[in-house]
Amino acid sequence: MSKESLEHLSSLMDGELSNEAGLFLTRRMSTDEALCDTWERYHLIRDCIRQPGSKQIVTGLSAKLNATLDEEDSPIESVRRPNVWLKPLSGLAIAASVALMAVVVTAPQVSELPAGNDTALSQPVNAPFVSPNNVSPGNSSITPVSQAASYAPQQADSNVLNSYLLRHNQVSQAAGRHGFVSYIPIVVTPASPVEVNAAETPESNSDATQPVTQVDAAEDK
Amino acid sequence: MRDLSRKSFLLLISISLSGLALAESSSSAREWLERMTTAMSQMSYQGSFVYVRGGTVESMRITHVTDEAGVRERLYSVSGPHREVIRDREGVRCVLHDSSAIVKDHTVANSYFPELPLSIVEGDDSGYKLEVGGETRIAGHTARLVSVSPVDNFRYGYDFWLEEKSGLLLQWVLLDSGRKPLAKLMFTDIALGSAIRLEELESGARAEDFIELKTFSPEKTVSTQSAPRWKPAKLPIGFQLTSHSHKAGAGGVYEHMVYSDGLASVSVYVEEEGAGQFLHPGTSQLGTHNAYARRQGELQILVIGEVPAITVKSIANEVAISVASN
Repeated sequence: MSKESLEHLSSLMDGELSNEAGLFLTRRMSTDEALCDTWERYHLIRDCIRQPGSKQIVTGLSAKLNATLDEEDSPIESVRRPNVWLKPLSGLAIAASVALMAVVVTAPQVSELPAGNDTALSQPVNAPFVSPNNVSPGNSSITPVSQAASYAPQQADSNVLNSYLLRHNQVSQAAGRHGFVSYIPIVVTPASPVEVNAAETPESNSDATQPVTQVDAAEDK
Repeated sequence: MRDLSRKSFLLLISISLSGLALAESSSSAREWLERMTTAMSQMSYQGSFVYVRGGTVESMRITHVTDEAGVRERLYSVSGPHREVIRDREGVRCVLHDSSAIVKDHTVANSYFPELPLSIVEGDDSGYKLEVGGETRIAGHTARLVSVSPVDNFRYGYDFWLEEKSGLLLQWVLLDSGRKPLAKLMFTDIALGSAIRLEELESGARAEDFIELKTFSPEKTVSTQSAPRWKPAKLPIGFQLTSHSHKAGAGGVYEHMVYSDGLASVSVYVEEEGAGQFLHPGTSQLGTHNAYARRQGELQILVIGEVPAITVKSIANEVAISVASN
């Protein structure tokens, strides 16, 4: 089995394969037992990791897939003969969907805090280290903020962040305890390192009325 | 009355015994962590593992060799875009095919600060509670669970499954303060010692395919024992300075401090505007690491580490206060 096939299989699992490529791969699985077995193994590994000790094992997928495909009309045929006048419209619809997905996917993942609470740690030095989220009861007024999606700076930022992380891992003695695990964030697919919130400047910090995103529940404990 | 005294006595004995058991478990857990640290750096191993985070599964492969040539390590993705990290005596190189970039960092001089002993991760002043758990089989090896739970929201917890004989990490789970898994890693196969194929240390990537990314120009930085020019007035419990370096000479401002609680570590970078590439202010995520960048006057403050977002933000704001007052 080629490396490319394995990559496609992995992408299909992650939902990152296009519809057409997904259909093609699905049909190929119906005839390629090795590919189908690999697909099962990938799922088994994922299930085991998510639920260690899980007894739920998927078997006989290829047979079920073949039976299902036999019963259904080929979806690829219907895709191959679309109405000509629909073509430009479908293109527009796909473009719009992709644009919408881009906005949704790049929406803030990590929350931002109210700028007015940035001084939470400017309490007396002998005060305990506290989260800005826990300082003021006024946090209940936190409201979400929308942010324009931006792509080019994200990739540049992720590369710069990678370089900072490399230096951090090299210098950090504690990172040495975790060994190679500390370097995994650099190897994971680049979708994760994204710039996630609105710009913040010292000037804006003093503006307590600046809208901010909803504070993450995990941070708000 | 005599019965009451007897019951109190038994209760006291019971509490003492459970306390002793807990202390023994904690001490034993620390020993396991020490074994893990040694095994991860000094053993030679090679294997495939799956890494799960946020519903996505990625396959990766690691080759770690320790011999007379020093430590050589290659970590690369098996699925998705080709990305890899190579570490050897020359430093660390990161190949990112999808972004047409290669990031290099030369070997960093040793810190003048003493290495933190693992004893700081137990006790009342630490940020964690340690416990040894049960055993299971992973990748054909018997593995022992060591649980590390955070005492507050400023750090993550860990479940380490360690190989019974060597202490090598076989499974790793990163947990939030509510013990909700944030990321998992599990070896599906692992080879030790002479069973390793050394040719896998060689990268298949061609250097000419990539460009070198100019970053924060770490050249001419020196590790120093001197106190940092700026430092956070307050830190989460257990965190202390473990490294400090700054740019030599008068050309611009660059300070790098590392704070650690024994397990988690956080880097604080303070740089002059124009000295490097500036990040968008705000919080960013890099895998399980969080980063927070902000500006204070002419300076950029960046805090990064495998800690919750609130921790990097809080520390950055503390440093900003220090910068503003100097």
